[in-house]
Amino acid sequence: MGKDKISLLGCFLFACLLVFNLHAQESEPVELPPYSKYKEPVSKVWFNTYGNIRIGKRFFWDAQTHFRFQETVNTPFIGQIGQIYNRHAIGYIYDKKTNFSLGGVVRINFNTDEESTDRNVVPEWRIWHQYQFAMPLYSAMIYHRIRIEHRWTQGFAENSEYIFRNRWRYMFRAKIPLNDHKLKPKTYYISPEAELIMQSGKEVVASPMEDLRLTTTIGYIATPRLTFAAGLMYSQGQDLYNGGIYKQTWTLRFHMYFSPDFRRIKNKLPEIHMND
Amino acid sequence: MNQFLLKYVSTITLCLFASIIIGQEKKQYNGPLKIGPYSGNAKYQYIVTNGDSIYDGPFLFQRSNLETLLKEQDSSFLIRGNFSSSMANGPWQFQFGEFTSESKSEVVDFEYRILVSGTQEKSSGRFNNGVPDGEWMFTIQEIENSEVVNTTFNSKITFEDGVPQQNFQIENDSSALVGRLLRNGLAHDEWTSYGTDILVDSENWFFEEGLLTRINIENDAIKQEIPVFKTNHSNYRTIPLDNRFLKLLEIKLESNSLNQGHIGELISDNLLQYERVNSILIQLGSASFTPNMKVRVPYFALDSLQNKSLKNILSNYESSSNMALTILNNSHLNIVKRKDKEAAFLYDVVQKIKEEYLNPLETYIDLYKDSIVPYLDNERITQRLWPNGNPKKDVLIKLNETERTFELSNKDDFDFTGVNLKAVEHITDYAKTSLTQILESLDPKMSDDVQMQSLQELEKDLINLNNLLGQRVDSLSGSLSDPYKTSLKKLVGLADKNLSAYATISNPSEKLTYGESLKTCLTEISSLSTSIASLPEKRMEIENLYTDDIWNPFMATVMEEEVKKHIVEAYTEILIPYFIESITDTLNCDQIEPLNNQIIFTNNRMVDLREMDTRKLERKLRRERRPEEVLKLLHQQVTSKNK
Repeated sequence: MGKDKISLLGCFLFACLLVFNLHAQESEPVELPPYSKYKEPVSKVWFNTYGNIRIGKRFFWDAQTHFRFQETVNTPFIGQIGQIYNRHAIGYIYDKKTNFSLGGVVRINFNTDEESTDRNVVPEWRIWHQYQFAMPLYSAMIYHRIRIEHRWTQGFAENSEYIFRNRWRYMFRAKIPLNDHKLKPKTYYISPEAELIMQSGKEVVASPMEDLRLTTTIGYIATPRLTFAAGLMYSQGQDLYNGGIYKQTWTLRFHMYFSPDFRRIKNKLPEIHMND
Repeated sequence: MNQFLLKYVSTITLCLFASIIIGQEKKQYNGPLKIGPYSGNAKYQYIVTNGDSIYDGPFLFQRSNLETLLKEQDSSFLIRGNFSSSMANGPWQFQFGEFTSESKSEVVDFEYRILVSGTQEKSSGRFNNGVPDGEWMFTIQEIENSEVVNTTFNSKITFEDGVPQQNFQIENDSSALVGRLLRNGLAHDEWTSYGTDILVDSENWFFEEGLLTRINIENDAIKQEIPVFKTNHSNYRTIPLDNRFLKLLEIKLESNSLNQGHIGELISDNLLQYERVNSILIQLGSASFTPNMKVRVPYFALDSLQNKSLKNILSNYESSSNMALTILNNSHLNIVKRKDKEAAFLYDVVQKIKEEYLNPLETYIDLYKDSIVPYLDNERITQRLWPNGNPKKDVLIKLNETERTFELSNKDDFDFTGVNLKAVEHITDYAKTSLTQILESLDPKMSDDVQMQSLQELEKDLINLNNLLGQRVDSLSGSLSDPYKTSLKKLVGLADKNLSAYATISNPSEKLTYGESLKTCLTEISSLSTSIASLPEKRMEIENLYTDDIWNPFMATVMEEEVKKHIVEAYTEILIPYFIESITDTLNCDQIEPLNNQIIFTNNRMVDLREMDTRKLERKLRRERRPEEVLKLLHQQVTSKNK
């Protein structure tokens, strides 16, 4: 009888251990390092196009396509394609200095880990909305951009589940004309910008700061409808699964901004006064 | 102690320095001044640059005379404002009074107050660098014993950088008008006028972005809607809402018995008030000042043939009228015709030609001189000239029971059929040829002095024209760059050369013929000089016209974009230099007018092309550098238009 009791206890302990063991297998314990750890910076190159296509007196179609490359072991500098990024929205021009957008993003993520045997390509989905305000300051312009994104991502591993996160982004940017007293065609400008991207969601435990981006760009306004810019960005942010580890990147960015207006001439008038 | 001294000395030095700078720049005037019909006492500041004195700083100009007021009537005025390098700037006030006094007076404190009666006209508002900015008010008030008893006119318009904005209001003692304007000054939406005493007496004008589409009238007797301009016309022009537009409207609505509605009257009253202030500002050298409201009207572009016909009609009409007047007013002939049957017959013919051919054309000629013709449907206007059919070629005269007709032997060369400009041209040509023939046969019967007299008059005219040309070129070339100046000088030289040629002719009748053509030539040289001198300004206007404001969404900034580059370049880089270089020393009188017409045509065409679909033309212009070919391309019709 006593022996029975012992064996029962043994069984219980075994089961407990098993459960514990199983549990531990499901999610490895995350150990925050005693001090923050910065990973080696990764270099990236981005080619971004920004379209702003006027479709009505107050509406425009925001169409952005980005090609983002990331260094790998085999191709060091320009790297291999990391993401192809399609951002679209319908924008509303509240006035000349204020506009709002609402739309969706499909991002194609490529697996840049050359040794990985997981899937090569996975999609990522977002719904985003944005509130942008411009303020003239002497000859320069200052922009505040609040962008909120609802994001569904998944890993490259086979059958991995989508996880849902919210991103909270604020960007401060200035555009300062260099060879003229205002931003107008044939003008070069310098544009310092800082963007803080915070995230939240069930999976975000100790890493609310996803990314802090510091960029300086030099741009050239070719025509009122076409601008080119290139710049360098440094960014750092917490690793999603370990808030003590910080990722760092150096990114070369090349941008083309175009804003065609295919409306007929009569519909374009009166462009200047929107508040009559 | 030392530091204190240093501060003291430096402050004084600074003050001295500042006063020297100011003393060098601004001067003060205080004394009599006459501007147009206004003479009084003025106090103003000015600066001297390049030998010209330019108003700069506060300006005060006024007059009132107690003595004349007490005796009978005094016209007083007060003009107060500020200039910034000759442009009116800041708040301004204009006040004009006509007062009488019945020698009634009051004593208040230690002052004698004289009570006056009469009218006071007052206007005030702000200027920004010569153009009105902010609200401008005009009032006319009746004053009795120094108190306002009635406001007979009141107008309130708000400007932004010279362009009237939003709502405005104009009132006189019987009606009031409220209207709305677009940001660019175009009349828009409903303009309403209502009687101030009678309840049901309203007139409404409906605009669609400047285009007056219909007028509604409602009073005790009638209630009617009058359609005005159609919205489906192919070509419109933006013109100022001024007396010319009102005249155009009057003709357009002739059949609707709305000759002078309330709204037209109020607008015209308002224009008169602005013009009064404008005339003073212009004399003071500031920019022109108008209500600057704009309307769109259908434009009936005239082709070169029609333009030529119009020109011929005008010249035929003028020489015919002159000849008719010479004959009808000749006192000698008036005596002769009593005995001479032939003379009497011809005299009557002239009278009839004047009545039947020339008089009906009078209003039309006025319209042409006011440049209103291109805004009118020509066919309808031509129809109006002779409502009972075109005049007959044989002029029938009844003289003491006997009938006799006058006709030209080559009357079949003139085609009076149809209702078009060509027919009108033939009709005026017929009148001119007939009158020339009659004048020739009557000439011996008119005294010999006539020829000498006309020669003298002609010479007076020629000298006048030449002087005017010299003065005009002098005043025009002040601000022009060298190539323009040289061309203008060459034009003066051309006039001088022709005048010397005239002087060498001794035969009076030859002299008269040559002189007449020289008169035309001088007038043409004069208008060509104006065209040339206005080219820099036109060029700027056109470059502005071909610049669009584009809102760049990425910069949130409005930027200027040059449109239709090839057309603008053809104008500025090829045609303008070509026009200037066309004026050479070997130019003769026959070439003046065509050249001037080309310049005027090109300027107008540039304005028209802005709104047209010109893709094909731009493609052709891209490759073309020869000015003659560029002109040819500009003359080609552009078929489709942007709408």
